[in-house]
Amino acid sequence: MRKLTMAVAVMVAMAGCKKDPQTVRYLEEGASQLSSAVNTGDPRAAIQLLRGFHDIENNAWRWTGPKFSVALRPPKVIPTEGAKFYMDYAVAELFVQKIPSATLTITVNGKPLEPEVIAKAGNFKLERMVPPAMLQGDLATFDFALDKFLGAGEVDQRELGLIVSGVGLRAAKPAAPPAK
Amino acid sequence: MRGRLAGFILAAGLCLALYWPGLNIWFAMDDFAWLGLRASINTWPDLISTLFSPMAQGTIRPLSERLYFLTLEGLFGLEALPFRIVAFTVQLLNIWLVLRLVERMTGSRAGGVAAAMLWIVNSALAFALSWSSAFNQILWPCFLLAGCHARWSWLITGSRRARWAEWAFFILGFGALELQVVYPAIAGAMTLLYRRERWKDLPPLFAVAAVYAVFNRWIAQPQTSPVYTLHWDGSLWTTLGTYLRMATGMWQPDLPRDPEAWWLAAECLVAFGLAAGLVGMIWRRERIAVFGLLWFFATLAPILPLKNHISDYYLTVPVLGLAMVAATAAVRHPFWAILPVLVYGVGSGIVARRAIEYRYNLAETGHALIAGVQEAARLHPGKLILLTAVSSEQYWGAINDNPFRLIPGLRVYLAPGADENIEKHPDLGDPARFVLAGPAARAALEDGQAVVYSPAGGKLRNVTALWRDLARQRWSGELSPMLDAGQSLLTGQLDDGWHPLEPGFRWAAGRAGLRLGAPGEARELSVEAFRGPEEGKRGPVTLIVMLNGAQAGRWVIAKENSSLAVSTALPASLDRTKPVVVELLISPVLREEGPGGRQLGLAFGKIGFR
Repeated sequence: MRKLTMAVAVMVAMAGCKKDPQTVRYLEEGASQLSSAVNTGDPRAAIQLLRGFHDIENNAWRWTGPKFSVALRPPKVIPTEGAKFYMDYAVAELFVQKIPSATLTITVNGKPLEPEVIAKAGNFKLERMVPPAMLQGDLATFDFALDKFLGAGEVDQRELGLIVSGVGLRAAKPAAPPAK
Repeated sequence: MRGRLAGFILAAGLCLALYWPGLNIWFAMDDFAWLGLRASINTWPDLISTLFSPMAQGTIRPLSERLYFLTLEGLFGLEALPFRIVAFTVQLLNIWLVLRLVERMTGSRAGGVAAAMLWIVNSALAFALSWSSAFNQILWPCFLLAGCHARWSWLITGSRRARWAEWAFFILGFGALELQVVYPAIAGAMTLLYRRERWKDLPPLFAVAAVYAVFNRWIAQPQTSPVYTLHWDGSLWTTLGTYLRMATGMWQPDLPRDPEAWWLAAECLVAFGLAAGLVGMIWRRERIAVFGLLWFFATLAPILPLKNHISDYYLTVPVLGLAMVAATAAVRHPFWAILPVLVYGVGSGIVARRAIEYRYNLAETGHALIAGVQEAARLHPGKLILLTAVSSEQYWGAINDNPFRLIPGLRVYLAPGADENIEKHPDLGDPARFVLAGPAARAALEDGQAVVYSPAGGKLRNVTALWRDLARQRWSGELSPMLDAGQSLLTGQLDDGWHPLEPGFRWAAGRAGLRLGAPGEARELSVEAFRGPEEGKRGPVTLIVMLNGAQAGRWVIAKENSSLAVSTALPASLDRTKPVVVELLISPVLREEGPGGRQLGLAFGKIGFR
């Protein structure tokens, strides 16, 4: 019994050797800024991934579900031709093996943009011009919906759509000067 | 004596050094369900029912789960350290019992110390030593080993006290884990191997175990979850093979290993070493080899039909049998054993350490989230706290069992859409039940009744301002498809027939109306209703729910039931794209005494589509 008591005493002493809980702060107050571009591999950017994004993988990207949404801050100055929306995404080989063709519909603040057809595996950059009229205010929400996706249990437990690494909005580049 | 003490210190030191993060670890997952037990106890019958009713897959573990959590939570609240100290203290006792049992059975003190150390270093123990809900895997071997000691004393000395002690440990073991039914097989092996003439006292042990096994199967709820379904087919052999490989402590089905070839070679060396030792010992008729092997198979056999629930934690007790064999073989032939034992110690030790650190970090993530929410509640007293950008790990590790209900005054929800970022595990729960509907979130944010925090990236970040804009943009003018009549939000959606808000509920008269947002893809209508505490002679109460004028559900709340939480499928004819007018018809009603007394039908909480 004495041995056990000694061992318990050692154990309690070991357990006591940890950080003073008073020094630990679990909260950050203060305003959070919305960004015009989101790197989905950045955990702090998760506040802009409103729904439909799974956890970060390889510190770089996330699988989406069949429907996903992102909030972005429109550029301060939007040229008359609009701002350019882009999304860096990949289509898994497995996806196209099971779904030869799928359509991704996109809406900005509830208004539709031209859909994207998903038919090949690989890395892609989706780009769409968004007219200034669609980008009123300090916030733009982009909603995406795939008409076909990998159901839960087909590949893993999750419903899987695209692999997205980055999403953003930027003022469209000014047109190149005419060649002399 | 000094040598024995040194051996114990060595083994106990190894346990503490290897698993010390498990001593400081916080609560996780099922712990929060067990921690809530106290709230259900108001009377002595409640206590008896809480201790002995079947819970979690129909199990009854009054000592290792119910009393463990009830007592320690009662004494220390949400402080995890006492739980861990108790678990580690019992584990140290286990180490002592192993050390002495092997010494008594083989006459080798070194063999006892080696058996304890080889058991400790197996990575299967990491799970049990890092999760309070797995305390059953620590307490059960304590009763098994104590029972074996008592049997050994009875076999050697014929002491009647030892027999009584064995029966006491045998019965107490059922309070730790239902797998105690295998004890008679272990006791039988010991008896037949060492003193077969004393076999006559075995049948009563088997009889009690058989009765308990039948009783346990009878009271266990039929398993609808595929995870806990029993499979009595050829998969038993596959599962056994998987567990045999996992018993090396260096392999688990999803464990990433690098470089794989080296790990595989190490596994083969350890498996070969153990097999060679086992064959050699059986050849020399060393009875501990057979005893250890039977221990392994007897304690593993009951979980082999769970082919969809293979976990290293189930190996905690079985690997002790292999440790007894390996230790005795190693002590007899140290030259041949040194390499496999070293490889096993390092390999399994690395896996064990990784496993316990992973679990520690997982628990800390949950701890930071819950502590952050508490801090937020102190900064914003009385406000709803909405959580956005919660990861699957944070949800399943901390939120699913609703730890927030354990802290008075907290009202925590997931922000709209937050559930859609979380992996689905329908057998464990539905994150959607924590979500505050978009229009309700907008109303709460507009009125300054809610704050929004994000736990993404570590600390909780206040993102209320951002979410206020977002909610304004996304849910302006929309009706919520779900509302809580017991909260001040969305009162604009309540029509006639409602009385003023009371804490957590709102009385409806005999007929009350409300409007809900379009159901969209929702599957059902759910309703939470309550009867009053003093209803006099009012008998059963009938509640009829009408959706757009058509009856969608009818329920009767018996006099002895205080509440109703029901759901019903939405009628096929309902237009899912448009708001819905809901009417609640309640009869009979109560009438408050005195002039102008109110007519009271039922009190309501959440009503809506989900």
